Amino acid sequence: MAQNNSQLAVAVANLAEAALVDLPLFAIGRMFDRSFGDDLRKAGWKAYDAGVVTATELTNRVYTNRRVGRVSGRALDASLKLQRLADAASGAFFAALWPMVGLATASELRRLSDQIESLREQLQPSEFTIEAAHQLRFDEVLPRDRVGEMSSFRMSPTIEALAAEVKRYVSH
Amino acid sequence: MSLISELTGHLVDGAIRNLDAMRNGYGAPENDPPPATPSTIIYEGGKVRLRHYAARGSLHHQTPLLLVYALIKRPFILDLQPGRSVVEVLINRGFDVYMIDWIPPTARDDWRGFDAYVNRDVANAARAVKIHHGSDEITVLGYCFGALLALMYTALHPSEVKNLVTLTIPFDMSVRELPMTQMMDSMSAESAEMVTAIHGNVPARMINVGFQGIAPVHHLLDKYVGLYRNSARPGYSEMFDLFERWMTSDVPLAGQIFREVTSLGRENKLYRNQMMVGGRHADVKSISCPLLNVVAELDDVVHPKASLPLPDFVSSQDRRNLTFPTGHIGAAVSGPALQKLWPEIAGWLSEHD
Repeated sequence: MAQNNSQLAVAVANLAEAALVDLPLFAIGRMFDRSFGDDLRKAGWKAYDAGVVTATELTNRVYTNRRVGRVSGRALDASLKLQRLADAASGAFFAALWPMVGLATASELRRLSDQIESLREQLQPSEFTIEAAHQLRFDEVLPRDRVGEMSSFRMSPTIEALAAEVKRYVSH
Repeated sequence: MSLISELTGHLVDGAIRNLDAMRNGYGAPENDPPPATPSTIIYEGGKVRLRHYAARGSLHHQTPLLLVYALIKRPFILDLQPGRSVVEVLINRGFDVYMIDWIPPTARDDWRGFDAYVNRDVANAARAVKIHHGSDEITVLGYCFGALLALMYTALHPSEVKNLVTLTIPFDMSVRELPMTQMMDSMSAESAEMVTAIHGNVPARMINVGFQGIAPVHHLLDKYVGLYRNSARPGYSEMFDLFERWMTSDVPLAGQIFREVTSLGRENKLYRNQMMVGGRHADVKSISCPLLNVVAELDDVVHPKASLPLPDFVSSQDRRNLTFPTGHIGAAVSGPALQKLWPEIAGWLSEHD
């Protein structure tokens, strides 16, 4: 904490020096002599840099403040609970509404999507475990001289068409 | 052009970039910039797309190198542009590089935890590398979250790994030096559960907010002022654009691994050597291969103190820390890192080939 205090103190001192001493000094100088323009610009950037360091140090202090942490933790909890409630409420409302206007419910779409996924998995060489069936999957790894002929799995045209149909349905 | 108008332009561009990312999804692989180094996809399975970058030059090392990237952003930061690419540095020194380009999880992948990512995906990728390269042994290099995966993989499958390189690994998660980690302590276990109960996976936008929250002054203002001040430097604005694309390339994190990571962090399981993956103990002590632990001294995402203890916990005879004065992301993109740090890592790999 002592180190943080000294970092912040240095940052504030630099900011004060640049903003309250250098900048006004060079601004007045420039009113009488245009050659002070460069110095004024440099003082401006020095003040900006000191301002950024000060703001960063202050942000870090906010992050490390236990009270702020407690409050933000509670706020996060509350907002997540509220979001969960809103999701449940809107789900219940629209689940009743969609069939009335002739649209499929989310769970129906999910079921359809699950069926497609299940078909896809049936066609795909099964996700192999370390112990079993790895040869199946490693048919896909090409030897060096055949690199470029990547044979990644593609869905069958029927399922592709079915998937496109569902996608269209969902987007409507 | 005046400071105000140019800066306003940069701020508007930044806002549009963030809004576009929110609208189109953050880390969609199709939004990646064109790769700097050509690669071939040699294997796809689970959530792994494995890219191969062929070694260049006359010197070819025997041991292939598997890069395990983090799960929460796109990996193109390791191959940003010619002359600013970790991959390029490594292949130019004769290494066959294989990189795991993680396929972002979908709603259906919320069950994926460390077991799926480590024991299936990384293990499959390692096996694919061996088959493709025709080698019995591999070197595994993990970056940040990827280093956690690499460490767990090596702990669970010690005989498969010849050398292990961990880069900015969050090993000791009790370290609370960074303000953001202290802020994250305020998030209860119940909140973590609720995030996944509501969303399934952790949405990319939440991860993006977390990253931006590490340095809000920088992300809201200072980086744009930096762009204005450096606009005359050749290549700066192109680099800035690429970097900003990467900053908005956040990928959702599978619900199960998020729950496991929060529990890992809360109980500091790796440091206490109590990490269980798929019912097996990921015993860090079982790692006996040579270990190079790369630590970024100015890291503001993973504090150096969180990485430094790792070598003391493994059984390897040949183990050491390599510290370098750079930041978390600077370790992958900064000029000094690419000119000094990565050649040094390549030198170590070469000695251990």
